[in-house]
Amino acid sequence: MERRDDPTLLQAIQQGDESAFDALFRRYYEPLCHYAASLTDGDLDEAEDLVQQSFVKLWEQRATFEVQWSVKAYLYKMVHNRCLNRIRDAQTREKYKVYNAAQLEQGYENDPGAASELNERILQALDTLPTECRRIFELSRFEELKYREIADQLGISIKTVETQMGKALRLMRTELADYLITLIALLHWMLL
Amino acid sequence: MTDNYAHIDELLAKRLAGETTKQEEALIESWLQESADNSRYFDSLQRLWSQAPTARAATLRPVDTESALQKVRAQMQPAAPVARRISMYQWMPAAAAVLALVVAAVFFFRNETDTPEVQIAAATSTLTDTLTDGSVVVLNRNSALRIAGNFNKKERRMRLEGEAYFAVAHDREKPFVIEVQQLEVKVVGTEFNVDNRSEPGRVKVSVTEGKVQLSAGAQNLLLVAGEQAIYESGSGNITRVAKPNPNVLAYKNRYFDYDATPLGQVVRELSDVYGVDISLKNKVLENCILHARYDNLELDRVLDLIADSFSLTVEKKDGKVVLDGTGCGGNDE
Repeated sequence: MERRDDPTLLQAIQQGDESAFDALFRRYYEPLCHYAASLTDGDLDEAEDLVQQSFVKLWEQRATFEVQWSVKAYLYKMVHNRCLNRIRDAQTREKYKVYNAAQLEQGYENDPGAASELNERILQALDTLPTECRRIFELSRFEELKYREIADQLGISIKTVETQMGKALRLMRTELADYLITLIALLHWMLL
Repeated sequence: MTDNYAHIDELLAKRLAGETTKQEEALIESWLQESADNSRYFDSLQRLWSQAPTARAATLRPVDTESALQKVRAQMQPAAPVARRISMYQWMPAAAAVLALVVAAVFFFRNETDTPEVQIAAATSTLTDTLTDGSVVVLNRNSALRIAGNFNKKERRMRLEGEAYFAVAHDREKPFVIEVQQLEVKVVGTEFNVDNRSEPGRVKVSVTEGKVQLSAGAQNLLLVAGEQAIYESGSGNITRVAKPNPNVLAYKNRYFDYDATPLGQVVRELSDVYGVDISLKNKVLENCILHARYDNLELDRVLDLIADSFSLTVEKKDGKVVLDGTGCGGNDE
């Protein structure tokens, strides 16, 4: 296991250390792909391609790029921008739609009711969130970015991140209210 | 309470995301104490928060990271030419590249063997390198390491000037020996820091993992993880430090832990690690006591936090930073 922390790896990469590059790649490739896939309507192949390009770019610019908060936030921002550029192409957007429909069906076939009821309810609740609200919640909860990093990536204020996070939790909880309350009551009852 | 619900959701979200300030934590605590409903409400949000990643994980398809890495590596330009010359001598793995401005790699011959001694030096910024035995060295600024020509044959010997952190690859057969002044630091496989830079005539050794044997003349001392020792080159004495400084590795990880530390010392350490001249205009400020922890923050952020707690102004001019204020007021946290 690679034990060097992100700043150490970054510094080594900036000095041309390929082993540090490998370590950073192994640490963030998979989560970045899933994040990119969420931006490209679930097209994982396209997402992998975008993330690989981002890493090649990172290596090419190693001597000059400046990291504002953390290398992790830098990678997410780079992938985010690449995805947006890709999505702006209207033609490919059409392609995504078709692909996505096929992918979704395939996804359900591969995973026949494996998720528990709570998990399914959470995913449904996530789907009810407005796009920006959901995006912010996912960056915080799934990608574990700091509020300021999310604000920077999306070009919004930290205050907006705070508001949207509160909103995301409130809306999801409302969706899940009856279910969560039953569940927690049950847990309390079991503990007593 | 209902009127404040919108606001409390934001606070609770901040708590779950680990973004709250102390004041906000206090506010949340008193809100939770207000009623059982409130605390149940938070329980349900917490449940939702902790379960969400699991719910999502079930929908993710795995990716093949290793084959993706191969693809990316194929598209990458190799590191700077200097590094390839070094690797010809098999001194460092191809991974090690050297930026000409930052680092000078110098070869010179010694011991009448045909194996050259290698020097790694860091000038204006720290440098991380992997040695041929797999050990990793982080050199602080203004530091240099001269690696013996027969490195990794019978033993792994080098001479250090300045300061470095070592994560030594385990190899019981070949001891890892660092010479600093007349002090020998000998290990098998462990992680530790050697500082010959901060104070003239003194070598500070801090062990983060494993054990390290120090010897100078007839004196010997075994240091274990968490311990520090100081070698005085004048007297040749080695002494264990009673209260180790937690910030010895800050140049490497930018982690600072201040527990009742005078601001004068804080400013000196920050200047050293970030390589920026920071000073206190009003000398009274030197003795303000700081309690804080900074985990790998940008310098601007650290300065803002300090300025906030003592009501200071931050002035930047010609790459230097000057903090000013009337006194230590406002830092009771």
